[in-house]
Amino acid sequence: MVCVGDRIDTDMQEGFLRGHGTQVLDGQLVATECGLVERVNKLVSVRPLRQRYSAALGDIVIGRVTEVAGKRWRLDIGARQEVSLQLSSVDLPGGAQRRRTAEDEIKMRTIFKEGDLLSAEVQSLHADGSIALHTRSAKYGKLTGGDLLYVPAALVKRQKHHFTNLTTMGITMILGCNGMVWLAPTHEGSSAAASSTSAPEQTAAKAPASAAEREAVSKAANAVRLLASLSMNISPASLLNVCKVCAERGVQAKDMLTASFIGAMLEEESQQRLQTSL
Amino acid sequence: MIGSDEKDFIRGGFKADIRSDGRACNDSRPLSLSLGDLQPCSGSARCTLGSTDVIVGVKAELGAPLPDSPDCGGLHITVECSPCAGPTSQGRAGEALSFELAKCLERALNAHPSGRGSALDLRALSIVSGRTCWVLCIDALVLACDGSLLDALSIAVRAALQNTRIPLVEVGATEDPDEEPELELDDDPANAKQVDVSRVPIIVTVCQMDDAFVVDPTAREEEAAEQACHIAVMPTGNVCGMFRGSGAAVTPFALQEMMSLAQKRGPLLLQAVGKSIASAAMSMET
Amino acid sequence: MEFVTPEGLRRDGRRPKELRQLKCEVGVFPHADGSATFNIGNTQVIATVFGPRVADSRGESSTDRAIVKCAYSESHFAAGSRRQRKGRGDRRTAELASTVRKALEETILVELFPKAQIDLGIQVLQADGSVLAACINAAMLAVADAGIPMRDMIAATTVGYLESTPLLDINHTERTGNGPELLLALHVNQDKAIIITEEGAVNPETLEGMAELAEQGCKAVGKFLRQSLLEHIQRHATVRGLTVK
Repeated sequence: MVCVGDRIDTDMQEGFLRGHGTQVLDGQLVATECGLVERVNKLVSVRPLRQRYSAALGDIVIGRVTEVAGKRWRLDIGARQEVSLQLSSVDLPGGAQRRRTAEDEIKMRTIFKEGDLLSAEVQSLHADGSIALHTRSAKYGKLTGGDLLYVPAALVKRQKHHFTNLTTMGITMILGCNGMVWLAPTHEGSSAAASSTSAPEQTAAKAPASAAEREAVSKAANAVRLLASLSMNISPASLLNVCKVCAERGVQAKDMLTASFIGAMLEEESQQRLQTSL
Repeated sequence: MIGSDEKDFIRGGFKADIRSDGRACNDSRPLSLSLGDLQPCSGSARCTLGSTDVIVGVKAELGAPLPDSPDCGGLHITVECSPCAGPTSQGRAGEALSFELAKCLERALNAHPSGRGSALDLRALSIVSGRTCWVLCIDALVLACDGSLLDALSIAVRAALQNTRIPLVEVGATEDPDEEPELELDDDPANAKQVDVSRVPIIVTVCQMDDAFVVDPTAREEEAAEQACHIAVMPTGNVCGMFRGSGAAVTPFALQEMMSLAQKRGPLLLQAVGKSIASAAMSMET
Repeated sequence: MEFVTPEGLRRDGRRPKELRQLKCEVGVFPHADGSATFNIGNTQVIATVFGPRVADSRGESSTDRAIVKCAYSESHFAAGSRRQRKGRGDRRTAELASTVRKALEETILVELFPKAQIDLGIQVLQADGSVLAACINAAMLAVADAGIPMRDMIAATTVGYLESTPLLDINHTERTGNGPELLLALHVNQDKAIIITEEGAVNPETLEGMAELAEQGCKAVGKFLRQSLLEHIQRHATVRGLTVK
């Protein structure tokens, strides 16, 4: 554990590679962030507790369209860099591989318009540092009929599955690496997102959420908010754990964010840690 | 920024009486109050309503009464959006918002059931008729905004006033009526006067989407809703002021609905505030 | 008014080289990328950081580094006597904002974030002397909380000079003595003075004495800031189940 300006011990190794959060001063490795030192072979870096999201290739993210212009959409994903989605990186109705016409450009807003939410993957990082996304897969696309949450990106670890079906609650969850989390009722036979290849009629036909479904979504949403406020990692497992404790104590969704339940969660967590360490 | 699909989802939530955080349309977020944290002030309070965070400082200063109300003290209210609330709260937009908030608070405090006078007994602030009086300077600061700013601000103002202690003033006798009398301020906090807040209203924000009415909206809900009203409610449950927020015009029917909703919520909220203040005072004594 | 007794005690009972009580809290506002409060005696400051993010205006942004902006505000109720302010745009506020901005700009590794913008927000809740130094310290904690890399830790203090004695960390009452005042913001590990401003007539020997005391003060504040940040990390690492070697 180091603070900004601290020397990092490299005496035990023969040489070192300077990783994130470090700098070399007079041949010494010095921390530029406050956090935990990570050593992977010769690469020494410092990982801070929190940091603004910095995109990496292959990351699954959720974003909001802020601008539609010139063959691309601009998105806000809460990142350091500028983010864009090219028209050529989106699956169009009528088949995947065909050239984009001038008509497509005009019709861009029929695919995604300002304010729309969508899930996508980081395709590439341009030379100027900006990020390019793509939605060329059935699982990506516009997100409707659900709730969006913002959490610190550091609490979403890169895991195997970012699209999860929480079957016990009837909810589908998308964990964006950028800290945006999507929760929606699971619909039979469809993937998490309304694919951009589906005709507009299909997306509109999605039935509005029932009261029971909304209850489940708000419970899950509050579980995520609670985990974020306690600076705990967010994953399907941790979410389900919070809901389990909630059910055990008979706490309603709307009371999950009160000081008393937050305290109860901390208690549970420390109990569980104690049991696993024994 | 909010998309049309998000608005639809929120609309559906209002209709089903299940909001994003599980609240019913009539439910408020958890409220917490902290009193007397600011040393230089005669009274202060910090209020958090969900993620909305405001702080109010009250300073009692000596001043002169206005010519047409020689037996009344003075009242000034300012509201500022702190840079901490975010870059979007700065600049012209932030200043315009601060101005609007201050105006609403001022009008709410100047309200009285009879339509005359102020929610605070300004005559109690008079020291020497026509010459000297106490002026209550109420300065509010918005630290974080997540909707329902006027609700949080009015609660904090009320709590800060309740926390305010005004020194006892002894007016020296003068032979010559034109002579400026000597004033002696009593430093003993035990002798300090309290401010009567029994007629101070709190403001309840109500949002409307289609036929659903919702209290204590978050910033996202405020953005999604078409209409919003801010209704000043007295502890008795009487409405003493109403300010329309941004958005389309409100129908008379909707207005009625909002007012009756606010009237129900107001006293309940004040109860919660009272409890909060009592527990804060107790924890300070221990 | 006597500021230092013959026994060498100041009006508030401190010794000339003594700092007031230090308190701070890191990560107080979840809506900001980084935030912190810093209290020294009765002076209380809150700082927030937003960024690095895409610059608002292309014209202002730089292609090889991030630009740092600072918005500064002192509450109406901050000082003992309520200040009648002319509004945000007054010169004093602008100067204070500019000083904090410069101090952090020289500390943050801005070259790592071309075309980006970092917004600092400073709110003074209570002003009881050494306000600018407190602002710089609070800003540093907020930047650390935001995970923005810095070349070194920056710590700041103010030193006054009354009755032939250099006084560390002067409060408001001591400022009314109208003696010379020195502000020092120091990169504590590399011993580099980033901001050093002095106001008031003073001879070179006295100035040297004041600067030396300021340096000691900055190192002490730096130690406190470092300790606080490490404690903060420890607590959160434990909650997240991360191991600390």
